[in-house]
Amino acid sequence: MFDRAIDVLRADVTAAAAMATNDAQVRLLYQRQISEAASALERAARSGQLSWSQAADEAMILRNTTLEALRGRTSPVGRALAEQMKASGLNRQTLLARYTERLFGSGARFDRLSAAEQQRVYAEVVRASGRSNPQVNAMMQRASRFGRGLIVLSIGVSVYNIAVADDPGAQAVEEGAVIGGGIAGGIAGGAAAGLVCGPGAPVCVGIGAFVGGALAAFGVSLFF
Amino acid sequence: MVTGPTWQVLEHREQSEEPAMRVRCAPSGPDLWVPGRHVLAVFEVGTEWLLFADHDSPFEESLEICLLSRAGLTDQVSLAFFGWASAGIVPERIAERVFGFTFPATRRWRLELGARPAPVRPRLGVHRHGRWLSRLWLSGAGQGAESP
Repeated sequence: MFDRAIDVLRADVTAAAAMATNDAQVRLLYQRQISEAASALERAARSGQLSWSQAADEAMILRNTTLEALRGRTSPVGRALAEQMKASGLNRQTLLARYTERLFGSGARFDRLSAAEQQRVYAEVVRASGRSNPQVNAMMQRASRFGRGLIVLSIGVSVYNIAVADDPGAQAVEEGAVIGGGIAGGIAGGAAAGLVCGPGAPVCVGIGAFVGGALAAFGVSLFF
Repeated sequence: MVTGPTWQVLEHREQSEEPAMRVRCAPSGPDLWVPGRHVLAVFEVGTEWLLFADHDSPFEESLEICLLSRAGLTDQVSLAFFGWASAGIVPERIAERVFGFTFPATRRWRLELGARPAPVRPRLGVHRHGRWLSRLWLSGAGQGAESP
């Protein structure tokens, strides 16, 4: 029973590690895509293909569309975090007001600016849309490194278990099934928790992923 | 060069992950490199300065709070988490050594500048850059300060 509990825990930790590693890769892609899209919009506005106002509107939309596009590639926890990010309530007015005050001082109003000054505000909105948070990026990189370390450790334990088993073939099947079941159960549990708790609830989804992973790994281990 | 009532940004440095600014806190104050892209406020506290800056990424903002002295950056805390967007952070001085601000829009914080460093409490979204002791005592508004 103790060995089974340890196996279940290892499957759950490996599932979390796999999800963190995957989400870090998606985050890197997100960083690159929003930066490239903002640069492309700035070039289009400078060359006259788009007005600065259009470029700013596009830029505000692009953050959400990029999140949407990458959502299918993230884990349930990553998806819940992305949904929370989308629900942040930033809109055209708040962004224009923010950059009007930043560029022209406290109390300045966008509708009282000249056309040239308004263009400067729009340009700032476009540039800002291409920036990601350095602390969050660093957090994801740390999570990825930690996750990769745990995966290597878990594989090491599996290799050891197979090497010392009386029937290495059967042990290899068991190791693969329990760990694979844990990962699949974690994803399914997280997705189910997302349905129950609604969008943008990463803590609830994280708990769901953990419980789902543990139950799946435990269920699979009963077959061996 | 960007200038505020008590500070001047003299120079910007854009690095891949950690933008920084060279800031002069007062006409006769030192000029120091601090993290961030935009200074929100600088408050003079005795012979020190408390600087609030952000990274100018409104969709996913980072707030930097730095304690500065003539010797340099003596303490620092960063606030950032997934989905913490900001339409603008407005730090306020509540008392001589107590400050308040809202970030993200739904969360109100109280910051007390302690006389001496005290152990920090881990909090979601609060990054201490490896420090276990800090004079920047952070807590949710309405609750007691992080440290005595």
